[in-house]
Amino acid sequence: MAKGAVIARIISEYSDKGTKAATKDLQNFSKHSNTFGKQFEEMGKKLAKAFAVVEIVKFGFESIKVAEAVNGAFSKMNVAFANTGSTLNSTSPEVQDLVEKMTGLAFTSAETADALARGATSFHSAATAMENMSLAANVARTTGMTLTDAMVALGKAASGKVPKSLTALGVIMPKNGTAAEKYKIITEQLTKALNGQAEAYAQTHPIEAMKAKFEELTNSLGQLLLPAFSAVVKVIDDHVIPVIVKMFNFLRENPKYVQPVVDAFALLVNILAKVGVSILQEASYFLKFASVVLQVVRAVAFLAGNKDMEKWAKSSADGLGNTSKSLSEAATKLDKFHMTATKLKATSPIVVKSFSSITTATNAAANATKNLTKEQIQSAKVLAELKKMGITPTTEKDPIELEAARLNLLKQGTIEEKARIDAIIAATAAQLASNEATARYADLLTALADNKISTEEISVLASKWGISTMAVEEYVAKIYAANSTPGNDDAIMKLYEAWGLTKEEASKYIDFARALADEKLSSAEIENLMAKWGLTREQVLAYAKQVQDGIVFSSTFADPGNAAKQSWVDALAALNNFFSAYFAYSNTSPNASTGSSNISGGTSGSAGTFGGSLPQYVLDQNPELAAAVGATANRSIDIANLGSTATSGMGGGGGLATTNVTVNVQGSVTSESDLISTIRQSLLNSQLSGKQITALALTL
Amino acid sequence: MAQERLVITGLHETLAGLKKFDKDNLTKFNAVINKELRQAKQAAQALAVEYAASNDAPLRNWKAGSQSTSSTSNKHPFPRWDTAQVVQGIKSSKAQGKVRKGDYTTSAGALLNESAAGRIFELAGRGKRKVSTDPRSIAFKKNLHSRFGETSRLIYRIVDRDRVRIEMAFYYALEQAKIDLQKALESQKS
Repeated sequence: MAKGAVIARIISEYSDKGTKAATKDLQNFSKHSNTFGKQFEEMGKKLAKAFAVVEIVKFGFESIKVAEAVNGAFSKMNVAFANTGSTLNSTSPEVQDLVEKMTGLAFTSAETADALARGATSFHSAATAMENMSLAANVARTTGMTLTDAMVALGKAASGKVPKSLTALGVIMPKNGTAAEKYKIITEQLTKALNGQAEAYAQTHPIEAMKAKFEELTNSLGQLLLPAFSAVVKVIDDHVIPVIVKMFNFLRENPKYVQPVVDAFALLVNILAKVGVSILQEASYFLKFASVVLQVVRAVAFLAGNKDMEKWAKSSADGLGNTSKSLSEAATKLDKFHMTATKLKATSPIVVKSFSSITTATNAAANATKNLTKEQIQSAKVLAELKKMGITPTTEKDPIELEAARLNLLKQGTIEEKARIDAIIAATAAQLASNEATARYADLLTALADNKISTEEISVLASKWGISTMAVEEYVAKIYAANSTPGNDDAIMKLYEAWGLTKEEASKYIDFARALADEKLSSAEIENLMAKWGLTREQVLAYAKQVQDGIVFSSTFADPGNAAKQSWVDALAALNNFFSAYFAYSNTSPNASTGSSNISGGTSGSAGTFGGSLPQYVLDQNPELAAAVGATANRSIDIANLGSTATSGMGGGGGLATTNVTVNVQGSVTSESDLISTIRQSLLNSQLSGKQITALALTL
Repeated sequence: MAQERLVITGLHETLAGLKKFDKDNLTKFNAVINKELRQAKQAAQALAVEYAASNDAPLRNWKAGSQSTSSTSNKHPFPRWDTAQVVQGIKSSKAQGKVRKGDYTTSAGALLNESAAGRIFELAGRGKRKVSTDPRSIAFKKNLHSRFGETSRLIYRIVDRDRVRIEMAFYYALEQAKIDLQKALESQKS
């Protein structure tokens, strides 16, 4: 910032910087003030120290809270003292000295008062409680218990019972003597053992000590503020609230007076400020008055019920709290009150606006009531006219009932309307489904115009309908079966046979699909199916469910992989069946024993022949296999047919007894796993390419 | 000049807290404050340009242009009016500044008028104690007064005009920032 610059402040802030400046002024004030007497000079010194760690703005409220707590504790102590017949109380110099001493040991007034109250009850004597306070402090600091608990423990010891907390400190109860004598010995033991603990604690815990001192200071200030605060509360309860309630009612009825009243209120606060300054100057109750004004401002804000005003009031309260720091400048204080009053005036438009809103709402309510009354009168008139005309309503409903009935009708109408819309939606959905079915059926008829449906046509339909080819096949089967008649089963039989089903399976499927055309099986249909196909009832139901459910199609990305895996499993099973069958055959065939160690037969002993590629340990274990393969190497078999044949129940040695297979592998394999891997990969490649799986396609 | 002021509390504490715990809302809050201050500054700068539009200076006889540094006749010559310099000298600031003795407040946002010519134009005729008897000085002040009104002619004029709006914007932004900070603290605590 350039030197000498003109600064136009827009926003002002209360900050730590200002607090420090105020503290400095306050310290100067406490040095030089002759106006406020010794008590306030001391207070000023204490405040100046305290303000270094405590926010001044909050100080007034905290003081009152602490004062209330301390007063509560001392009140309790006074009662306890009085119950022991003692004349001591919180105002007694002995008690005050003790409290001050305990404050020096980092115990707050409230803690001391509470301990004294409990001690007086335990010892049945206020004086004894006070005598034992020092010891209780040492015990408390040594054990970590509270001062009150320490005092209670000592009280128990005085009555002849040593609590565990004291025995842990090494206290031994004497066996002989009266209770008083025993207690004296105990106290001597404790004093000897614990002497100086409380002082040491206070010295080594400066923060705790400072806290206690600050609470004491806070209490002192709060004691000054509390009467004024109580008085303000009483005044608000007795006078302010009733007046304000009356005023609000009046203003609600007479909104034109809102602005003048708010202005007058601002003036009132202004006057209060001036009067307050006079009081300050005369009675030196600066802080007390600051608190009173602060409370009044906040209370007014609360009563006004206006949040903006309440926020503003808080801001003003902060301002007043800061002002209380500058005890030396009463004139500044006055200016601040003027400013407060002016601010209140500035806020009045908000209040007026709020009142205007209330008035508008009230007027609207009144108009609504008036209109309702008009309607009631009109209703009565209509009824009277109807009566004159000789028309008497069956029941005379009042407007509320009529409105309820109207709403009910409206509700019913809404329900009916909803039902109607639901029905329309359902009909539309059915229509769409029907359209789709019709379209599909038309597509199907087109595809079946030549009484055949090729793989390509199925693919086209799948693409057009947005479903998989398997789903198309299933759909075609269902439609065809359900719509076929006993007379035209041939075409569909051919279709199913083309898909790899046996005639019997196809016929069975058609029967079930036809029976399930209405999506359910009657008892008669079940019996017919049982009789025709020799099934039990459960089998019929199970197969019907299978037909009805169809194939569970999945559109997940893993389908091709799963299909490939299943194909491989099937192929491997077929191969294993083949081996099993072959071994069975070779074990029973007399020719099987005529094996040869030379297994390079087959296709002219080429390097890639199956026999020639078998590992030695296989040859050692199964010489018959090698011999058999080598001997009958002239015939190839379709691997797909081999698999389907094997898995359709025709496996076993008998069916393949005369069938020999030579698998030609391009290149060379060194182990059985290589051979299997090669066959598997070739099968997968064929599947993925969509070719028919033949030996040729496998490129083996 | 402004007499009534809204005094806010906790601005710098909130800023410090936001800086530490909630930088997003700090940016948001700063954006509001900076926008208001920038608008006020630009308005004051526009005012300075407008006043000097006809003669390159507010008054016809007020020499315009850059200050001559080779003048030997007068060690403290009357500052020339350089519109660019005056405009450049009008700044906004969020620095705390000095504590005001009357109410122990500090500044949280202010406009500065730093150029010599700008300061003279702003405040000429304000002093009550040492009033110059120089006829040129009297004429100067009279002309300024008749053409541009009483003192507080640049930044104070804008501040007086826009202060309430800016105060409210500050106040609500600060309250929102306090709420945001509290939320940030609570969320960190949880």
